[in-house]
Amino acid sequence: MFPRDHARGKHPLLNVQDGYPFTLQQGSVVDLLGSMSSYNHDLGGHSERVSSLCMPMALRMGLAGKRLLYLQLASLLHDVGKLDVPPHILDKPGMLSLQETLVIQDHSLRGEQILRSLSLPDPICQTVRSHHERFDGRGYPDGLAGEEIPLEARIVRVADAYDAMTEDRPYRAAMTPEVTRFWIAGLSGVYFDPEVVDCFLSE
Amino acid sequence: MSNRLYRVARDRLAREEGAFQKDWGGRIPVALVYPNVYRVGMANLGFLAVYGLLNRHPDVVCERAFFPDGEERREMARTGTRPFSLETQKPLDAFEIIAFSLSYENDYPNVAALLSMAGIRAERRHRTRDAPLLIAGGPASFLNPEPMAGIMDLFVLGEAEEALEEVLEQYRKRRGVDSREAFVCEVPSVEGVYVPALYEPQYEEDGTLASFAPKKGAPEKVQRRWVRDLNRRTTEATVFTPEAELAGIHLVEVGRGCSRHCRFCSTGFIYRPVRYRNLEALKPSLETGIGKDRRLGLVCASLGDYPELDALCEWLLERGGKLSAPSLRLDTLSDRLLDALKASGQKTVTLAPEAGSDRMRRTLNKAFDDEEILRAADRLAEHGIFSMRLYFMVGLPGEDEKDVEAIIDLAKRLRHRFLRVAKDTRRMGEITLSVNPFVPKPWSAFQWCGMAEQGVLSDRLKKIRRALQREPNIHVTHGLAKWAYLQALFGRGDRRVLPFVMEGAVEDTDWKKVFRRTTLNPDFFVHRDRRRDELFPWDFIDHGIPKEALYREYERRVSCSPGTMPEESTRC
Repeated sequence: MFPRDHARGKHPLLNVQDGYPFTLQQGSVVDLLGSMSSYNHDLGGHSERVSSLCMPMALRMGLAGKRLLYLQLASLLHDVGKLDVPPHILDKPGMLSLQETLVIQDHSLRGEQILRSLSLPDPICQTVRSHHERFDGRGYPDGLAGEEIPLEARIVRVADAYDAMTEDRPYRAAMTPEVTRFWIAGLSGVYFDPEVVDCFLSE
Repeated sequence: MSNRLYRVARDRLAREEGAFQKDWGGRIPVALVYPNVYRVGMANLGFLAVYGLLNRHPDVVCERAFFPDGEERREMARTGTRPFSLETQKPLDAFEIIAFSLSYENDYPNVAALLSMAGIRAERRHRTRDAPLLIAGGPASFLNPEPMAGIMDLFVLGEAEEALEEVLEQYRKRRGVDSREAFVCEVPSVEGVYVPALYEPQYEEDGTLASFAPKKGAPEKVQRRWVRDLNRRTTEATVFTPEAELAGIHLVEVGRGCSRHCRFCSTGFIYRPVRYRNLEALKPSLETGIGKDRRLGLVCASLGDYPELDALCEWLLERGGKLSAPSLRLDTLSDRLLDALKASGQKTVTLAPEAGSDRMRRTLNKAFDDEEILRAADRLAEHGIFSMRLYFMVGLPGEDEKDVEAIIDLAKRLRHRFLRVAKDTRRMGEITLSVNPFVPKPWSAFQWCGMAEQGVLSDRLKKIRRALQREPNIHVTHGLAKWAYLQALFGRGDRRVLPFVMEGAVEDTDWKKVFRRTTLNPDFFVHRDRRRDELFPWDFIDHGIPKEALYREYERRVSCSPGTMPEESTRC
């Protein structure tokens, strides 16, 4: 099995201080978004696109009021933990080592920590923590399955995958929307919540 | 007439459990044919499931027929006996419908041979309207039905559960009103039905397909059928015989499709989307199997990916149920699963590294490294399983001698790994390598690849066999390049390969002579790398797959990039 219970936040690469262009200040959400944009060429744009993909889905799934607002914030900040992933890993062309994969995977936990330190509401922190869970229970960090995963996180999961796949990255070319939708549909029930996928594909 | 053959059939029936015996009076008689021998057909869950599906209808009587083995065929020829159904020993032409279950391309010539033995003209254009209606289904048909297009009246493409009911419904309406043609023209309205007579292929000068035009009334693309909710109905074997290849095993389907998308494989595409049955829905079938003291053969493309596998294993352990696992992904060997296997007395676990080198496995999008494979052996040994069967392929795109040597090397290293544990426990099992030539499949990322030359394949197989034949505790079994060649021909051919299908049973035929005699070049279908934009004979099937998605995967093999699906390459 893939080691899903790796020592959280304890791998050496995460504790390297020098070389980080960013240290976390007491900051607002706007500051965080600003930091994300300046940290990585695509992190800001990605956050905004994911957020705007989430909103129509959330409305269709019946989210409203505070929940909707929290989802909006969570979707904007879902990758905030990537501020702690060194740039050479984030954009590494070619394959990642196991070590590097673990560092990247830690971004969901790290994101939660950052938001908790800013005393953001619990549902936002939860969504960010769980946005890489898989519907079949093989995701990370907690291996939650199905409805155990907060609905908000299941929504972000689909939007996040779609946007990532349709964007050019240093390690792979963008896919067309058609091809991306094909993969997402095919992994419905495995990676993604089938209801969310249906909702996404019928947009 | 051979009394001996009839007696064999009656003995077989007597040993079976669960066969249907129905009176014919007024019912629609359907012969369900598995175009290989009884022992093989009776281990095929799809075939057995369709047998159950058809017989559930009160107005249908479905009887099974198989391809006779060599001895039976000689006896039939000697005594002038025609092939007959198992249940009531009626000749095939006494049935209104003959339905073929096509799982394996090399069985195609058996279909033609069986029909001609039965006195039915195999080629559709030679049949008269009083001949039985010939229909076909099964995975080989929805990979590419075209080599059989000149034989069948219609195909049911995809999962049979729902489509078959609808076809029967149409048939009932037309039955006896003398309008077989009307039925055949109307039936394309059923989604998933493909009537080959309604399509007209045109070819380019270079021999590739130029167009594939439907005649009026036929859809341009035929949608492959699939069942949305597997929980509504179980798929399990209901007929049992001690003669079957998997005797004593109760086959139960756990899921369909696969989310892994290895580049050589089409399962993830032609059974899309991946679906699993809930454990609760499976329990009644499992209880039945346990009650009959059979091992449970859990059918699933990648059983280790079944989300409720641990719960299932726990439940089995509590009840003392025994399971029989198919090949497992070595990254899904959970403790629970291994405990359950051990408790079931399964002494051998089958793993499928497919290739010997890290590089080659990355090409396949099956990127285990050597160390992971060795660790899997450790895990097996820790759980008291000391024998493993390993699937490998040779002739993969981009493969060289080093990759073949890596298979040999890996086998030796695995043996050492086992030996280390064996010293302490004084137990040593066997490592069996099952090596097969790679055959490119339609609807896989490798559908553009030509197959390696037979000489290369044979040399590589020989190399592995020779290198390992003196190694203690290691056995090598392998397929033959000449059969792989035929499989590629019948797997990726179009309607023009029909003359080869008509040659007669695969093993009875001198294929070298056939290929020398023919004006058609079979290498064109087998060895040619396809152009990116080539129109494939199977492209008319709508599997919901953008060709671009597959081609992207095909290209990514070169750089050994991971698959396209999220996680491996999204890094989102």
